Amino acid sequence: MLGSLYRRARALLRSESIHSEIEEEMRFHVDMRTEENVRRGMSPSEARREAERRFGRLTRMKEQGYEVRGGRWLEAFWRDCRYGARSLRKSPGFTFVAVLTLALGIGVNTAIFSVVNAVLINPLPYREADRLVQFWETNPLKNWTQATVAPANLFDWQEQSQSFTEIAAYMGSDKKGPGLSGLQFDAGGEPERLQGLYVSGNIFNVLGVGAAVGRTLTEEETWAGRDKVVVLSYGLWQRRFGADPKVVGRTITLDGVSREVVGVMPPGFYFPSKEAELWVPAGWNRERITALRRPHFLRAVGRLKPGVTLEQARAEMRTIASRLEAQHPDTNTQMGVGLGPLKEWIVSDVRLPLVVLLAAVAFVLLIACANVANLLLSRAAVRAREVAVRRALGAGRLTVVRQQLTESLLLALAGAGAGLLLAVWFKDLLVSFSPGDIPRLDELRLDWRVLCFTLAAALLTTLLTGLTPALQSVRAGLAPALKEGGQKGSTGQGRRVRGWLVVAEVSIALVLAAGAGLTVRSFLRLLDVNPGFDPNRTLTLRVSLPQSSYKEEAKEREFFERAERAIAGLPGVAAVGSTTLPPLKGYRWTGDMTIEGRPPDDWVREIRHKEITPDYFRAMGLPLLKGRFFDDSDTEKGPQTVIVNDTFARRYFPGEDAVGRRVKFGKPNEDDPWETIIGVVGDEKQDSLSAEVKPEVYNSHLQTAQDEMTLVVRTSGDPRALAGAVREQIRALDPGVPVYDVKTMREIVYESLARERFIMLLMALFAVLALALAAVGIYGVVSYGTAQRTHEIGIRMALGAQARDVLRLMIRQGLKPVLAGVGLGLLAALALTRLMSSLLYGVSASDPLTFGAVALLLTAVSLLACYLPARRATRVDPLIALRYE
Amino acid sequence: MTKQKADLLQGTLDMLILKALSAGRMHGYGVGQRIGQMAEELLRVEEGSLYPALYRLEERGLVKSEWGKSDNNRRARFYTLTAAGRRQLGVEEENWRRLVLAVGKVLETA
Repeated sequence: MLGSLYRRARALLRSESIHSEIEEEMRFHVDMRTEENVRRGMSPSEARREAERRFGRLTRMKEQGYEVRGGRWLEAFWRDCRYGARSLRKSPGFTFVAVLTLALGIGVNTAIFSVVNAVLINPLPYREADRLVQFWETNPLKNWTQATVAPANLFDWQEQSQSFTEIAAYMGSDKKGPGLSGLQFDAGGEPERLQGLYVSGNIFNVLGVGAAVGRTLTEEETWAGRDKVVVLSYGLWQRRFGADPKVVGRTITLDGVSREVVGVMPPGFYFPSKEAELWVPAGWNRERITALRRPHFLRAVGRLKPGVTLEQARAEMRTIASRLEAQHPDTNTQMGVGLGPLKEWIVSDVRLPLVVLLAAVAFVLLIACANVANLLLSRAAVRAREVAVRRALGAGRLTVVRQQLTESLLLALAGAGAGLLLAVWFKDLLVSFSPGDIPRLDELRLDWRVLCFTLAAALLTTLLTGLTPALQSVRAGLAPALKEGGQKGSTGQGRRVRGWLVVAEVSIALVLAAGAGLTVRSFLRLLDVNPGFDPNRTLTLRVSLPQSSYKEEAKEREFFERAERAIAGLPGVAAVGSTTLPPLKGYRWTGDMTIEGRPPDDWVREIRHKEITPDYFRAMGLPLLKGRFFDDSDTEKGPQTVIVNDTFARRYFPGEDAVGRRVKFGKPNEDDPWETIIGVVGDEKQDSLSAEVKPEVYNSHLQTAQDEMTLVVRTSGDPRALAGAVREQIRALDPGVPVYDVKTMREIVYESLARERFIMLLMALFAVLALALAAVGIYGVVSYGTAQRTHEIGIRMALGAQARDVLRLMIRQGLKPVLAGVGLGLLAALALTRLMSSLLYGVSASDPLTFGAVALLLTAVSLLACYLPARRATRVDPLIALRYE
Repeated sequence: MTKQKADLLQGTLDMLILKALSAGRMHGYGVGQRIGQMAEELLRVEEGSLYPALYRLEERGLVKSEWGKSDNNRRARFYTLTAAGRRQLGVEEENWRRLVLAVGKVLETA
C-alpha cells in the first residue's frame, strides 16, 4: 500500500522519467527479439522489422504501461482541470455568479475565522504559554466567583505549593481585567499619562520572556528599597526614546517617583494587555504586605512545573486553601482558590460570541453552497445530453463524476481565492469596527492556519456543491437524454433534489435570521433601559492629582472645590460635580459595612462606595427620592453622613425609611465612626446597562478626599463645545494636573454597548447576506422550474387556464419546500438559539415574537422570489410555449 | 483506454507470469521466453499484453522490479516474485486445477 502510494507520488512528480524508463525497457525487449530472429536466420533489418511489428506500436504500449504505473492519475486530473476550465470559460455568466457566491461565503468565513484564530487559537506570546495558569479566589459567602487575591494568601500559596515553578503577582481590579495604573510619565519633553502595571519582580520569569534591551526585573526588586526601577514596552521605547539602546540606566519620573530604566521588552510582548506600556515593581514592605489578608486587590499568574497537570495543581491548592481557612477563620472562611489556563482567563468572555459568529458565517457558506449546487444542477440538466454522449462513447460513471467534481473544485478554488481578497478587506473592517475590549484582536494575521481553514472550506464547498449534481448526472438513464427532443433534463429526481435544496436554504437562513433577530431585539431592549441618570448634555473629564504635589487630603479637596467653582462660572454650564467613577464604569472601592441595631454577626459584605462632591447628583441628573443631598455642612468636622441608592434602601430597609438610620464602614465589632444616612437617590447603572444595580453608598468628598476624580459637567448646549474651556480652567489652576478621558455621558453609554453592538451588527449583516442568498436561490429554483414547464404551461393556457390559475399553481409548487424549510428552520432555531441565551438581554432565546417575525419575513421574501418568475411564466404566449422545447 | 488484445484470459496470463518468475529473477523478455518454453511453444505471449500485465502485477505488489545487467551486459529491468506474489501463485494454481477439473467433468458428461 505504502509502496503503491510512493510510486504514485513519484509518478506525479516524475512522469517524464516513467516514460523514459518504459521506453528503455521496450527498446531492450525489441533488441533481444531482434537478436533471436537473427539467430534464427533472418537478415538484421528483417529481424528488427519483425520484432517491432510483433511488439505492436511502441507508443501505445508506452501509454498502457504508463497508465498502470501510476502516471494516469496526474494526467487525468490535469485533463479534467483543462476540461473544466474550458467549460467554465464557455459560460462566463454562470461562472461569475458561482464564484462570486462562493467568494462571499468563503470570504466571510475566512475573516471571522482569522479573528477566532487570533483570539482563541493562537498561543499567547509567552514561553510554553500553555503551562501558565491564572489564580483567583472564590467565596460563596460573598458571592465571589473570580475575585482578586488577598496578598497574605498569595504569599502563603507561594510558600506552600509544590506544583508551580513560581507564582507572580500584579495589581488587579475588581472587574476581571488587570488593575492598570495611570502614571504621570516624565522623561524630559512633554509629560504624558501612560498605563502601567505594578508587578512582583518575578513576573517576567513566570512568563518566560526576556528583555530585548537590558534586563527584566528581579525578585528582590519587588520590595521597597530596591524597587525604583522600570521596564518599558517596545512601543514606548520606539516612540519616546527613538529606540535608543542607551536608554538603559536613564532615570525617568513616574508619578513623581524617579526610576531607573533597566530594560525594554521585545516587540509583540504584552502583559496582560496591550495598554500596559510600563512594568513597575510593586515596592511592597514585606512585613506589611504579608500580613494583609482582608483586602483583595492582587491578581496572580503561575507556571506549572513540568509534568504537573492542572488537576493536580488544583487539588494541591484546595488543600492549601482549606489549611488557610482553618488558620484564619476571620478572613478566610469559605475562601477557595480557583485556577485555570491563562489564555482561558483572557479570552473566556469573548469565546461564546465568537463561536456564535463563526456558526453564523458557516451557515452563510452552506447557503452559498446550496445556491451553487442548484446552479450546477441546472447546468447538469442542460448538459445531460453531453454527458450521455460521453458515456455512450465509453466514459465510465466515475470519470464523469470526477470531471464534474473537478469543475466544482475549480469553482471552489476560484471562490476561495476571491474570498481571501474579500477576507483581507473584511477583517480590516472588522478590526476597525470592533469594540476595544476584544483581547488579542490586534494579533490578527492571515497565517497558515487561516489559509488551511480557507482551503478546507474550499474542499468542503467542492463536495457540498458538486457531489449531488455529479451523481445526479450519471444516475439518469442514457436513452432518454440521448433521444432528440427528449425532455431537457429535470427528471422527477432533479426536481426533488432542488426541492430539498430550497428546504435546506430556507431552514438555514431562518436559523441565522432568528439568531440575528434575537440579538437585534436584545440590543433594542438595552437601548430602552433607563440608565437612571440623564446622559444628555453631560461632559465628563478625568483628573488625577500627582501624588508628589498633593500629599494632603485638604489640598486634594481644595483643588476639586476650586475647579468646580471655576467651571460653574463658565457660560453654558448648568451644574458641576465630581465622582470617583462615573456610571457604567464598574466600581473602585468596596468594604464591609454594619447597620446600626442589627445583631453583631450580621453585616453587609463588600458594599460598593463612591466619593462624590455635593453637586454630583444634580450634574448627573440623578433624582433625590428621600432626604437631602450633601451640602457644604457635610465636612470632615461635622457629623459623618452618607447617601445610599434606591437598591440599598430597598434591600436593607425594606418597608422602612432609610433616612436617619446609621451605618459604619467595618464589621460590628470594629471601631469605626457611625455615619447617618441623609438621603436616598435613584439607581444609576453601574457595570453596564444590562447588569442588575447593586446596593451602593455615596460618601461626601468633603469627608473622604480622593486624588483621582471624574468631573461631571451638565451643560445647556452641546457638551463637546465646552470641553476646551473646561480644560482651560483646570490648566489655569495647575498646569501639572493631567486631564484625560474627556467624554460625554452619551459616549460612555455608547461605548458600554460596543460589544453588543458589534455582535448585533455582524449577526444582522450575516443574516441579511443569508436571506439575500436564499432569496436568489429560491428565485433560481422557481425560475428553472417554470422554464422547464413552459411547454406544459402553454398547453394549460391553450386549454383555457387563466393566468391567475397558472400563477397560483407555480407559486404553490414553489412555496411547498419553502414552508417545509420554515418549519424545519423553526425547530432547528429553537434548539440552537438556546446556546446563545447568555448573550441576550431582556429577551428569551425562544422569543415567539422574534421567531414569528423571522418566519414571516422569510416566507414573504420567498413568496416574492417565487412570484417574479411565476408571473413571467404566465406572460408566455401559448403558441410560442407549445413550440418551445 | 484502448482495449487489450487478449490471447489469453487476463487472469491466466498473470498466473503464467507469476509461475515463470517463480523460477527466479528475470527481465520482461525472459518472462515471455520462459512462458513459451514452459508451454513448449504452444502459447505465445503478446508483448502488448506482457508488459501491462507486469506493471499491473507490480502495482498490486505481487512482483517487484529493479534495473540490472542482462547476460549480454545491457541495462534491463528485472522482475522478481514478492512473498505476496508467491502466495498468490499458490492460490491461483489451486483455482486453476479446480477449474480444469470442473470443465473436464462438464465436457465428459456432455
